[in-house]
Amino acid sequence: MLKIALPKGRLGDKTYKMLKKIGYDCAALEEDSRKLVFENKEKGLTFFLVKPSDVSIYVAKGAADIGIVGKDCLDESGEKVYDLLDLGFGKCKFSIAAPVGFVENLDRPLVVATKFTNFAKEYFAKKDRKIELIKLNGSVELGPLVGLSDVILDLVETGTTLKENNLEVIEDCCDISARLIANISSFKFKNEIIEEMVEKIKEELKND
Amino acid sequence: MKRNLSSEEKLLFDLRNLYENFGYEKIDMDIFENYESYTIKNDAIDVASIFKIVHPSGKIYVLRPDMTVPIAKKFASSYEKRAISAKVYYHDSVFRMNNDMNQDLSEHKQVGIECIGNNSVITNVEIIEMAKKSLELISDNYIIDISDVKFLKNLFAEINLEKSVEKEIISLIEKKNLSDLEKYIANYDLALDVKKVILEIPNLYGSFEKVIEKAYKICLNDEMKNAIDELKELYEIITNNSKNNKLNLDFSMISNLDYYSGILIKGYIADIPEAVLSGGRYDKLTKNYGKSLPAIGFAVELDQLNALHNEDKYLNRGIIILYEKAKYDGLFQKVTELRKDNKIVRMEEFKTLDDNKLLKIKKRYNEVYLFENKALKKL
Repeated sequence: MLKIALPKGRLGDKTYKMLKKIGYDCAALEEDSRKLVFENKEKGLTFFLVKPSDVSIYVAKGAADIGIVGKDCLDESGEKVYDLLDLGFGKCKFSIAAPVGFVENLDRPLVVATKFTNFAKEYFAKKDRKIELIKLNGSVELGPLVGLSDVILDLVETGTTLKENNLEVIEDCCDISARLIANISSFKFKNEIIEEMVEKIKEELKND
Repeated sequence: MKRNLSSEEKLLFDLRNLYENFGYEKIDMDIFENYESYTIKNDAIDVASIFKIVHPSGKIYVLRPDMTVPIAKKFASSYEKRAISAKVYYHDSVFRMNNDMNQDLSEHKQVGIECIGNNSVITNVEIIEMAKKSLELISDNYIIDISDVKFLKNLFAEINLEKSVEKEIISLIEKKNLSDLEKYIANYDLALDVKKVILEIPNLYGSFEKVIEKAYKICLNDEMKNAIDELKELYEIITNNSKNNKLNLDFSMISNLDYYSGILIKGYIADIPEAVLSGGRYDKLTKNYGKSLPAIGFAVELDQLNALHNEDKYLNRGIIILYEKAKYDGLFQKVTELRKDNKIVRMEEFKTLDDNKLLKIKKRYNEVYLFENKALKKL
């Protein structure tokens, strides 16, 4: 039995479409229901639908053997798992954005609003820049607009939201994409089936 | 005692027997340690996770976060007086601060062994044998991964990289993250053959024979080759002297390059998400405490095994005798008589006894008696 944690939403849908194409399908998942656990007994697959920021925990604790998660959520969670494959989709960047024309005052801590506090802490620590961190849970762009923060650290895809709010990227931190992660113990005990899935996904991604 | 051991107790009993079987002696250590013991060039444990206690005198103590350091200290100072190496085992708790959610202090029960004074391959074989037998006592479905830090250390010796860069490469290898590893090392001026080898490491795992063959092919210097020669010798001794070897090599398992000096061991049980057994050779540790001695050991994290011991150990516990305070005449004689054969006999005073209470009591005890009219009446 291979237990797979899928993130709810766009990423999960896109991933499932790909998995179905290469033979990892589950009819129950395609039905419209409130269920969260879906089994395909013949193929030995169990899918869970999980909040994207929770995928790492399910995999780290072994509740799921493998999972699909954005590198943003993965890094933020800090969980110890194998990061087996960059799926190449869900591409965006972690970036620092500020109001257009923003000038940083290096004499005092930079006030940063973000959802990703662990990543922000580490990122600015590496740069040796003192910051004051404000944890927000959504619409982070509002922060600098109402004077709550100097800048934001957030995911940027097209940059449209920033533009519409008169914000601009002042620094790119790193690239983000969807990853296939695996529980360390599961990877050892279910090695063949997991490696087989990784190979099939790699092939499929090449063909895309 | 006439009662059955719970599966948890039975395992502890069997593990202790196993270590005694190999001639290891039980050792007990103090819970408190000096803070300095963990800050002298000891990278094994993240200092932030250690629970510190500030004594009124200003001296800083800690609740021991591991057993290896206290044991290493003890034998570093007393080794001269010994005729033979120190072979000890322990069953004790260690304390750590959790770095998730709450900074709460947690206690972790461990069982483990240390062998100090000996660095021969025969000792390494013995430790691996004991690790294997420890896992077998827990479950048939286990995996042991072996590695040797000398292989990677001597790979890094080929390149002059800053510590932080080395750390990042190690972190990516440990996660088997090939794609980010490739991108990361592209930023640095490394020889092409070195880059190639670094990219081989995440997938350098599997059966001993298969991996040794692969590893020989990517050696860049004699020291790397010597590390593989040693592993080969180790494997040959093991396979010549015992059957049923589920040993794997996994060079992506790195742990702490500065703390460990030779072989690494990790043990896994099916359906348990993290390693239950972990250890290796740490020849450089005792030097910090006065005398340089080779040392090797491993610990079993008993907390990881809780999922396996889920029977209720408080069911069917023997005999309970219910009595009313005023009516105790003749009670003690009856109870003492019952206790003669080392049976479990428990007295419980009551004021009122309703059916609900009685039901709960009957679940817990095999036999329930009411003491009344100087006699025992079975309920």
